[in-house]
Amino acid sequence: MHMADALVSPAVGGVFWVVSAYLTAKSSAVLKKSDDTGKTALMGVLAAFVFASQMINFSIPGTGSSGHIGGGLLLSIFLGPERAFLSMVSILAVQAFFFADGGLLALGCNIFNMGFFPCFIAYPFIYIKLSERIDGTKGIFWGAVIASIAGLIMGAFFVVLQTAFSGITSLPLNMFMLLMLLIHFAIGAVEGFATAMAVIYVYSKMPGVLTESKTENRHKEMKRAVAVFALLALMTGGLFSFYASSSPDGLEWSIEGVAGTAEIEAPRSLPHSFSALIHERFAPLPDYAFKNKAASENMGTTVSGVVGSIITLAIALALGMFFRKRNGRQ
Amino acid sequence: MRLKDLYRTEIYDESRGPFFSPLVLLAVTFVYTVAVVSFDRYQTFRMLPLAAYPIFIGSFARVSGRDIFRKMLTVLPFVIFIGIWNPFFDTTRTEYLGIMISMGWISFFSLILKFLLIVPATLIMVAATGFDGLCRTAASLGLPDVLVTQFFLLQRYIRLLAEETHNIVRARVFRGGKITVANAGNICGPLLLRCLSRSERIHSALMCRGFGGQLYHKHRRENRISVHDLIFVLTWVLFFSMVRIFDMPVLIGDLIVGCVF
Amino acid sequence: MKVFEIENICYSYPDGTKALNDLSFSVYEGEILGIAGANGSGKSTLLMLMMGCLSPLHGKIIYEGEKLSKQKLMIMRRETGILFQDPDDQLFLPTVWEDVAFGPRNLGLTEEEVALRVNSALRDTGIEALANKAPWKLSGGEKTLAALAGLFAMRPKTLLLDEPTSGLDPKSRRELINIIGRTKNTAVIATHDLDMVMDVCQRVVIMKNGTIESDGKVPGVLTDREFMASCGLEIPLSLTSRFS
Repeated sequence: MHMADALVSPAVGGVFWVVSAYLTAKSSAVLKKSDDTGKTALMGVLAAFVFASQMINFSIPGTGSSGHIGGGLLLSIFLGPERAFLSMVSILAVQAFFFADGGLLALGCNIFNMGFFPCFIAYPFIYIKLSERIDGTKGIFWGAVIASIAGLIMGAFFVVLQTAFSGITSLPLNMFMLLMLLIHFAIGAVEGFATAMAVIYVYSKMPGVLTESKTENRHKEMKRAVAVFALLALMTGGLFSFYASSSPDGLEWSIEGVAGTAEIEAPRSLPHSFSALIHERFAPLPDYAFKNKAASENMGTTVSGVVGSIITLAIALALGMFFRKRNGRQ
Repeated sequence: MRLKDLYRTEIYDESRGPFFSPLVLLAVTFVYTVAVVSFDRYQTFRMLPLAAYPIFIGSFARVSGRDIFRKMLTVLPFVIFIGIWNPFFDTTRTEYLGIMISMGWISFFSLILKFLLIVPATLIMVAATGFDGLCRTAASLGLPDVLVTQFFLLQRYIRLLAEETHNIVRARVFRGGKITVANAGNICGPLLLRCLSRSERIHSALMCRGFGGQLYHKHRRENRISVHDLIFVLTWVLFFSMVRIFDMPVLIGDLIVGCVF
Repeated sequence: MKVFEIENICYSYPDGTKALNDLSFSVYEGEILGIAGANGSGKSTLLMLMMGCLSPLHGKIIYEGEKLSKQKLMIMRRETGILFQDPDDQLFLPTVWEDVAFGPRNLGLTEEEVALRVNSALRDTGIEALANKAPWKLSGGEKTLAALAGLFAMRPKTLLLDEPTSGLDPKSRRELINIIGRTKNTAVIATHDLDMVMDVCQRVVIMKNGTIESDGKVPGVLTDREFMASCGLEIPLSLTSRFS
C-alpha cells in the first residue's frame, strides 16, 4: 500500500508533498498553541509501538496470509487526530528511509494516503460516532473495524489516483481500482480487527485512557483545514472516477504520446493535459529516444549505449573507492 | 520488517561523525530521485548512468550490498504488482535492442529499473548518515519542534520496543503458541499497556529535567555547510542534468566505440 | 528541616490493587534515607507519588512546608531528580553528552555553562569516556550512570533513586554506591539491596504490603533476623558472619 518512488511522477509527488507539508505544519501549530506537552512522550512511544507491532505478522486462519495492526487509527484513538497525524508522519518517514517502504519523493503521497484519511476522516467521523452510539467494547470493535476499512479504502483509492496521474500503469482504470479496493477492504478488515482487539484489551484494564483523548477539544483552524482538504479530495476523486468510468480504456493517452500522434492533437482529457504539464515543467528537453520511432534504434547505438553506461558506472565506483582511501588517510 | 534491519544498515558510527553532512546527502538524493522519475515511462538505458550516484556513495561509505538487496526484495512485489499489467494491456509492438517486443514490456522494464535506481540510493543515504543524523537534519531544516521531538523519541524507543516485541513473540512461539489475529489482543494488548506506563515514566523524566516542548536544541555548528559540501552538491546536480538532457550512454559509447573501431 | 512530609497517604491502582495504605514519614534535609521492602511492597509507587506522577487517593504530600499544588509541583520537579528503575526511560537523546546536556539547556544556560555542567556531571559519575556513545550501545551499569549524570547536571537538591543497583554487576554496583556516598544531596533510595543501605544510608524505612513496618537509624532493625524475614528481607550480608 506504500507508494514507491518509482510509481510517482515528480508533479504528483510534488503536489502531495505540499499538501502533506501544509497539514503537518498546521497540526504542529495547533499543538503548539494548545501548549500541552503531556502527551509528547506518549506520541513517541506509541509510534515506536506501532512500528514494533507491525513486526508481528498475525496469521489469518484458513487463508495462509497475514496482517498486522493498523497504525493511523490506533494512534488516533490514544492521541487524537493531530498528534496521531504527526506520529504517522514520523513512522512513514522512517519506513521510507530504513525499510525502503515508500520513498523520499512518494513520502507526501504516503502521508496523505495513510495519515490524513485515518486520522482526520475515519477516526473523528466514523470511529468516534460509532463508539459513542454503541456502548462498551462492542462500540470500540465496530468503530475500529469500520473506520479501519474506510480509512484504507480511501487511501487505496488515492493510490490508484496517484499512480494513474503519474502515468505508470496501462491497466484499465476501473479494473485497477476494483482490484485495489477489494484487496484493501480485506486488509482493512484484518487491521481493524487486530486494532480493536488491542484497544479492547487496554480498555478493559484502564478505561480512563480512552475517554481522556476523546474529550479533548479540537481546534477550529484545524477543522477548517481538514474540511478544505476533504472537499478537495472528494472533488478530485469524483472527477477522477467520472473520467475512469467514461473512458474504460484508461491510460491510453500516454501510448499515443509516445507514438507521437497525440502530440499534435489538442489535449482531450484531464489527465492528458496533466501529463503535458509535467512534460513542460520537468523535462528540459523532449525525449528523443522513442520519438524518432523506436525501430530506428539500430544495433550500433545500442552497443554504444551499453558500453557508455558501463564506463560511467565503473568510473563512479573507482572514484568512490579513491575518495574513501584519501579520506581514510587524513 | 525485521529487527536486525534496524541495526544492520546503520554503518554510521556516532563517535566518528558522518561521512557527509546529512543535509547535503538528503538534498542530493532528493534531486537524484526526481531526476530518475522524471524519465519517460518508456525510457530504459538512458537513465542508467544515474546509478553512478548510489555506486559512488555506496563504495565510498562501504555499505553492505547484500543488506540493501535483501531490503529491496521485500518491497519489490508491490511495484511488480502495479507494473506487471503493462505487458498485457499495452501491446503495441516495437523493435528494441534488435528484437520485437511490446511497449508494455519496455515500460515494465523501465519501472523496475527506476525502482532499482532509487531504492538503493535512499538506503545508502540512511546508512551513511545514521538515524540520528537524519533527526538532526530534520531539526536543522526548521521542522516544527513537535515533529523533531517525535523523530528523536521514535529513534530512541523503536529499538527498545522492537526488542520487547521480539521477546514476547519468541516466548510465545517457543512454547508452541500460535500468532493469529484472534489473539492479537493478548499479544499487543499487554505490550500496549506497558508502552502507556513507560510513556508516563518518560514524561515525568522529561518534566524533572525541565522539558518545555523542545527535546533537541540545535546548535549553530550543525548548520554550517562547507565548500566541500557545496562542490559535492553542484557536481552531482550538474551530472544529473547532463544525463537528463543528453543521451550520455550513447555519447560516451560512441566516443569509445569510435576510437576503437 | 523537612524536605518531604508524607501524611497518611493511600493509593490503589485503577484495577483495584491496593498499593499504599495510610503511610506517613518525613525526609529531612541532608540525610540519605533508605526505603527497603520486598518486591511489590509499594516502594516504586511511593516514589512515583512523591514525584507527582500519581496522585494519592487520601492524604497529602508536603514539599518544603507547602502542599503540592500545580505550581509547587513544578518547583519540586525542578529541584528533585528521580532515577527510574529502567534507565532507558530517561535517556532520550542520541549521545550521552547531549542527553546530559538536555536538562541544563532547558534551564536556558549559555553553551559554555552547559558544557561546564555536563563535563562536571560526567566526571562525577566517571563516564567521561562514554560521552559520544549512543545510549542503546551502553551496558546496564553504564546506562544507570549516564542517567544519574543527567540528574547531576540539573544540580538537584534532592535525589530519588528507584532500585539503583538492580541488575548491575558487582563492580558497577560498587561504583554507584561510591558515587551516592559522595553526594551531599538529600537522597531517598528505594531498594532491597540492604548492603547498600548499610553503606550509604543514615536512616531506613522498612515497608511491607503498602505500610511502614519500621522507621529508624541504620543498622537498627536491619540486625533483627526474624523481623526482616517477616518483611520478606534478610539481614545484610555484612552483618552476618558467613563462616560461623
